[in-house]
Amino acid sequence: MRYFLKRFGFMALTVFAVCALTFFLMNAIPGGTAELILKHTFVGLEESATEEQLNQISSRYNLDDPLYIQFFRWVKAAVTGEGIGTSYVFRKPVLYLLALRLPATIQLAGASMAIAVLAGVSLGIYSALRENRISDHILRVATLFGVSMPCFWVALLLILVFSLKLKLVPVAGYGSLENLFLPAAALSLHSMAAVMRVTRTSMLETLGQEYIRFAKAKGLPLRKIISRHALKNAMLPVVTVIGFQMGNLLGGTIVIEKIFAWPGIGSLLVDSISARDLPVVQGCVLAIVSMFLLVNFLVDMLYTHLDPRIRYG
Amino acid sequence: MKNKNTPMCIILITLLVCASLLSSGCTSSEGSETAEVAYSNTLVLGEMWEIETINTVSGDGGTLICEKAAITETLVGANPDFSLKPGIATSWEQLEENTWEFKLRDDVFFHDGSKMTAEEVKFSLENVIAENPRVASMLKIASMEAVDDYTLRIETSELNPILPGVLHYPDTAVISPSSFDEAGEYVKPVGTGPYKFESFDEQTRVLTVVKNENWWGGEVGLDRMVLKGIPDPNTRAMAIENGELDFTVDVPYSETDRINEVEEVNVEKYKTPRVYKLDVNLEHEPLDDVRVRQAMSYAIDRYEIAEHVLYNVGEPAAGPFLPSMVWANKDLQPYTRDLEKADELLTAAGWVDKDGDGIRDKDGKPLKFNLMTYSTRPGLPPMAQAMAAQLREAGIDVEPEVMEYGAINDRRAEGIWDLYLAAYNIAMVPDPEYILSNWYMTGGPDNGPGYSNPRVDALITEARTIADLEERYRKFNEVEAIVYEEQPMIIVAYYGCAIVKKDYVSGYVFDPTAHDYRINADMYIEK
Amino acid sequence: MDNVFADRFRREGFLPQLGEYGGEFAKRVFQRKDMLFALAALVLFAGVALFAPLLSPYDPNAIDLKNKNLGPSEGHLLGTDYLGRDLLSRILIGARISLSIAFGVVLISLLVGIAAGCAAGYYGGLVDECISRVIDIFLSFPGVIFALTIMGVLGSGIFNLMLALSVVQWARYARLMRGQVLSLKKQEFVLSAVTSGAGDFHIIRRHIVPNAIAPLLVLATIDLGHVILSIATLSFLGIGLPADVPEWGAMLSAGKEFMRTAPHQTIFPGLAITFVVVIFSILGDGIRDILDPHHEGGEMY
Repeated sequence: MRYFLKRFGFMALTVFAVCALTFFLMNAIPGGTAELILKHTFVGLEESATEEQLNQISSRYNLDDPLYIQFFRWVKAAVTGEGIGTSYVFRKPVLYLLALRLPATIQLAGASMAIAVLAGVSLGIYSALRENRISDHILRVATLFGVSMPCFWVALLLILVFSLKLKLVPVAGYGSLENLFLPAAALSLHSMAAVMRVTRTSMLETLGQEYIRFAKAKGLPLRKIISRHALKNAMLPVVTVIGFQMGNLLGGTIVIEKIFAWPGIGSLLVDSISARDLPVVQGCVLAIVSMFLLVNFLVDMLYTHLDPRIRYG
Repeated sequence: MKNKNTPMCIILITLLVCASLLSSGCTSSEGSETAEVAYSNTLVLGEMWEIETINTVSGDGGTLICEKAAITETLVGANPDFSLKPGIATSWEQLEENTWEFKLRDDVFFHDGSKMTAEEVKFSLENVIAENPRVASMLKIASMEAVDDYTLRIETSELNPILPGVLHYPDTAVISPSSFDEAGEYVKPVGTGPYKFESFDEQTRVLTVVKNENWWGGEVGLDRMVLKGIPDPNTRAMAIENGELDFTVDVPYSETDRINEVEEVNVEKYKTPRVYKLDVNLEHEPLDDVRVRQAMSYAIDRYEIAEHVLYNVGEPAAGPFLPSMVWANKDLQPYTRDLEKADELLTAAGWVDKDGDGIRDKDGKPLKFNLMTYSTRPGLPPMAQAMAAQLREAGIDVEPEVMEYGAINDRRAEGIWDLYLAAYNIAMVPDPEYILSNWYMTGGPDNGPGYSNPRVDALITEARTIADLEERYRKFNEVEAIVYEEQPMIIVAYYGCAIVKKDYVSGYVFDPTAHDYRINADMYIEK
Repeated sequence: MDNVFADRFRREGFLPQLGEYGGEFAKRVFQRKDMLFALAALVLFAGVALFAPLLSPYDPNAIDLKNKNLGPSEGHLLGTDYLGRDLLSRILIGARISLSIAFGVVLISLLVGIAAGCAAGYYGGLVDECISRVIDIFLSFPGVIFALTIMGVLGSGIFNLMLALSVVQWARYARLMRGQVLSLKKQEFVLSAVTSGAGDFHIIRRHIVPNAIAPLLVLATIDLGHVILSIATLSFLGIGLPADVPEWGAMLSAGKEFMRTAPHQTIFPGLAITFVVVIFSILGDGIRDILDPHHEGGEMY
């Protein structure tokens, strides 16, 4: 119990620090927040703004207050449950925007993770069982090239092949399973390769172990050995790699969402950064970091569950 | 070994949760898809910006709701030559210096069924003045009075000859008070236009409008129009090729000719009221020397840029105005490339390549400038590079730099720049005064170069008080001629717009006065 | 597998033995065909990068608008890009830029990571607590924001890009290093050095770093590829190098507009990136198999 308290304490601390960091970094980016907000909401990017208009914006959003006061105000509102600010561009509460956008990102990341785990684990096992045979080599080389291609390039190639050549799925959009297929596939590629590699290595290691040989000698069918004994032990490193990959996936959504016009928080984050829509940036970062920490927490829990040798003190 | 299956269970459960999340996402949208079947005459439009807001007075909302979704209408319309024509207002008159009277159509109904009167027009204008400081500063309205149901009298705070022009600006479009809820919060646009607001999906940011059966302008072409924001030009191109869109704009310029060849898709290229222009920092030596600026203008090959960088989506430009604009100075021709003349001018200014490195120098200092631009408009970065290469051939070393917009703002404020390539709107308001005074008058808000010419200032101030259009335009033509000679801003090309649509989309008429593009009521789908 | 060699490294430290066992290390590398192949390819790329100005047939920045978007031909072996610049020359010069950015970023992250990781692991207590929290923050923070801030404040440029990427990368090295130091600290040779009164810095330099570095080097090798991928991603988002710098990632993202009309503009830089990343992955995997067969670095790689 003490462990959980401590862990959650640290998570809260990290989230707070990240928010503070975002806030001050965003204010350090050149451009003048008031001016860019004005241009994004009223004037048009390429037009000029007058002093009077700038002052109006500054006072509307209290941008002239010292930064620490602005930040304190934000924290206070967040802690007291008042919300985490209102978007300058959308003129809606940030929480409302996040509630709209978050499901799309979770859906995308979840689907990618599902593909990565399902395909990665099965290919990994297959590859381990066929160690050093042709199919193993082909698989390994294929994944090696898969991870080595820039994500957005893969996405564009997938569109070319599956949408324009084969006419199987739509190019962009959101809502149906068809729409989800390409972005999830493009996003999952790196993680899938990572999961596959880890599964293969740890499968090989497990299969080489004494008790598996013993089970084999006893004449248990291979299928049973794998599902009953080998898989469980081989899963340990796989679970860890999932935790790590979650971070990559969340980062990758930014690019993938842009290409596929996917209405998630990744694209929201990038747009808000260029519009200096600070409350939204804060909100997105808060959401992304919390998700990342939460997934890692769950992974750790799963890990303890799988490996009783680890005990938290 | 009793819990040997638990880990697999946990993984399975996690996957199931993911799967159920997915399926929940899918089922929710299927309902709306079935509804679409009821409408046969539906057009899906791929909009070039993300649809951030449907508020008619904020951000891109005004342009979107008025011009692209055709939900609202403005008091004043404009002809293709940018001269004004009646919109919802049938006529207007400047009664006294600061007093205007607008007569309104008496047959206009809002989408909620109520009749539009001067009261609602007054309400709409008050709303935009309160919400949008930019438009407020252009309108300069002191007070308004509804004389009768169809007459609106406007008092301006100072002489404002461009008032009718400003009332063509989409943010000033007329909305019904029922656009707001009881608490005064904006809910949805209730306008008078050919299309009625149906829904806006805040999650997917898709806007749907349907035909207004009682439009005062007559029959409306489409039953329904779905606007989807697809910010990536590549994605728009692939989506229309794949049949997901019926109409879109600005696919990558290099793709326009290829897509035109694609079956059932056609591409039309138009000029829009926007120019690519190169601001020159006149405070930096030797850019204050008119000969250097002229030489630069002669060194730039506008025709080559239009053909090879813009793929003819855009044309070489002479002055700040499109030749088709009624007030444009039609005598001006784009500077054509002439390296000899550039050499003459630069040599006369004392810039000669003494050390033989290909770059001219004077007093041991090389002729070297930096050039900033941004990437939100796809033509700018390659144009900056092409221009740098062309200037280099004339012995001018130019270093192009693509920066984020905010960083450019800061550099301009601090004066740390030589050249700045940007795409500027030239008819925010269909009147020449607005652009000329903003760009070229001493201290004008868009006068980035810091240009100051007493003759230009005098001409513009004079023109303000002249009511006669011919006379007024003559003054402006003279201003255009002066800045053409002095080149404080090097106007490179007119901005183009590529309209991409399916062959079965008929009746589309391009409106050059629109800010990106305008959907006209007559457009329909041919079955 | 045969772990005697690796165990010896582990016991006696990697760096001090490098001279002595360098030969054996090399022998092991030569036994693996994939590593040999990757190494040869790396040498080739490095050679290309070094001699790029001599090899490239054209000035990589010479614009020739009339000959834009040309496919591969005799005049231009890999064709020209959207401004008529010779693609082969740009890729050759790009090798130099991409590789030097990758090495720069990895070197900076490695140094910072080692310093932070040593401090945290060796001193423990409050120092460890603080540094670990900072590491956690950096590991969970979206890298785009850092990149954007740094590039925004400092302007775009090769060095600034290196800095922006290093800020994101160093934390992984620090975390790995900290774990290594923690396990080494309990080992006898370190304990005896402590009792013999050696200074902290001496112990860290002589005993800890040399023994802990192997998994970090593996991570660094694989990271060289990742950095090149990150540059491409940043270019896609519009943050990164000035457009005329012939860097592969920037070329790839600039060429994506021409994917349909002139696909060679994305294919060649894309392949260059893919190959280099593959090479570093193979080398990294190989070095790990030789030095760190028990995967002490965990799944950091």
